[in-house]
Amino acid sequence: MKSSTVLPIFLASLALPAVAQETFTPETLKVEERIAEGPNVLVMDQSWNGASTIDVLGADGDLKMKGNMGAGTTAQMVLSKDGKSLYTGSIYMQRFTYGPVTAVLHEWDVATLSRKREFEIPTKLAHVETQPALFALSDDESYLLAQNATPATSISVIDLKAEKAIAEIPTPGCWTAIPATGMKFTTICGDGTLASYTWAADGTFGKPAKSEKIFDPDADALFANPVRVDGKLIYLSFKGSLYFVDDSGDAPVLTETLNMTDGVLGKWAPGGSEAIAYNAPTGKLFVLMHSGAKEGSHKDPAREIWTYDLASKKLVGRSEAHHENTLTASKGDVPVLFAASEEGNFTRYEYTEADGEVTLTKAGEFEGLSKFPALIATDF
Amino acid sequence: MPRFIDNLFKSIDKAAEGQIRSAARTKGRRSFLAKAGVALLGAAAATPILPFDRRANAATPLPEDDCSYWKHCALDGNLCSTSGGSLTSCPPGSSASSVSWVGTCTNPDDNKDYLVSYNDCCGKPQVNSATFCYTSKGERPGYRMGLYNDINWCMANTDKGYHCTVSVVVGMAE
Repeated sequence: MKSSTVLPIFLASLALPAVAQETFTPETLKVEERIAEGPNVLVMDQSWNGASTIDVLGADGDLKMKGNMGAGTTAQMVLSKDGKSLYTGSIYMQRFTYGPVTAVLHEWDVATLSRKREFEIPTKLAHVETQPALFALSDDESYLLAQNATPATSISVIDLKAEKAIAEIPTPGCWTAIPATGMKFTTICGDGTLASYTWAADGTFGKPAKSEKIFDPDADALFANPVRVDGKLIYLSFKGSLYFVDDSGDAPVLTETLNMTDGVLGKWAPGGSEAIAYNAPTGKLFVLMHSGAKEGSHKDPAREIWTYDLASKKLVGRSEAHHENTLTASKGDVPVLFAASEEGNFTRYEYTEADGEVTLTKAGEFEGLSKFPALIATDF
Repeated sequence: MPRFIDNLFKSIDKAAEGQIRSAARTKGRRSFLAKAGVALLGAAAATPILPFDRRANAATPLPEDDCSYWKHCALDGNLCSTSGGSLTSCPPGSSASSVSWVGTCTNPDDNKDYLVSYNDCCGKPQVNSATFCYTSKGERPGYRMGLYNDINWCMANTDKGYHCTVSVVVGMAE
């Protein structure tokens, strides 16, 4: 704008009616201090080429976006038992897609979506799809167990108080670290066994206590991420069996197997990244299922969500799914289920039970929430 | 299990054995890379007759940049053939991953099984328009690391950013 035209405009503004200036209230810029009250669901939108996002949604039917937290590439996450702190572990490449790498553990305050602290952890941290058994808090939440892969596998034991890794425990041929009671974790191995490891506060650790062969990785492999039920681990197999493992002793022991698909037509089988969820008050397992199963379909999206009652050892519900491959259930007396599809759509399901039969009804949807929704967690 | 895959697992496991300590960490990984490389080369050398693609003359050709193409039977990733490279070559300026996962895929032309090495190409952003494939025949979780396709196989490279994936036939399955 020419300076010769600016002056007349400025003078004209001075001539505005006084009443207009008196009634105008300028808006003020502010930053929200906290997220809205109420139960939350957290969704990891994992990136392999930049910042991963953890979206926080209201858990009610409208799934209102409350904000997010931002970690690095191929982020992992775990929520504290009280739901107040979220821990993430992620990779930072100095030039985004190349250059020197650092791995950083963040602790986030969920109420304010802000960073509480951060420190570096070993750079062997696996660059892998987000999974609960790859980044987990120990029984007393004093330590964090982080999966490494170079691709040789090991577990970093990170002392959260000292803010450093105190041990790297080699776990050759094995994958995941499921926290057990005390300073101990259990891992699943490619030879069909499970193994438990213990560590001490000074960073020393024992030899693995290996189970007998429990499963056949070729004929019917197990999904790597189990649920813990009354102290035992329940693993889900590619063909729909449940493997109950007691890891309270020195070495894990298989105590029982059940098949969910016996007598069901249609070649149904579990599928997805996080295909199984558990709600303790109801004693129900929820499993993402697809029909027409064959070798290689173990990540196919779900056509149904099956509800399995652990007390009666029976299938008690088959509900319509919406192509999801990641699932979680809330912890309360009446569970709410949340699931996400590879396409990034997010669905909420309400639970009803009548005459021993469970129905899951879609009651909320957020289309296009994520690019890669890899893991869901709830704080209720 | 094919001997090639068995050897691959042993190489991975061996690299992690022996209470790895910091001074040996890098060496341990390099050791794996060397063994894996030998295994791959060995498999190729021991297979004088590699399959050739007769799809060009087939009645119903399937393009290589379609996820249903037989060599992509366990591929989870972006096709390099739609990212500036080809079925067996990384796009310019990227680097091929030093380690890879393996699939066992059936060639519909001769109904024989072949070992396919899925190498990631590294050090560049992903191409937004690239074809993304998500097939998992014979794929297994990370406890069978050599068959696992949910991990970034650029992990052992200097440049670790994931770009795309190629499907390279390296031998015949036993």
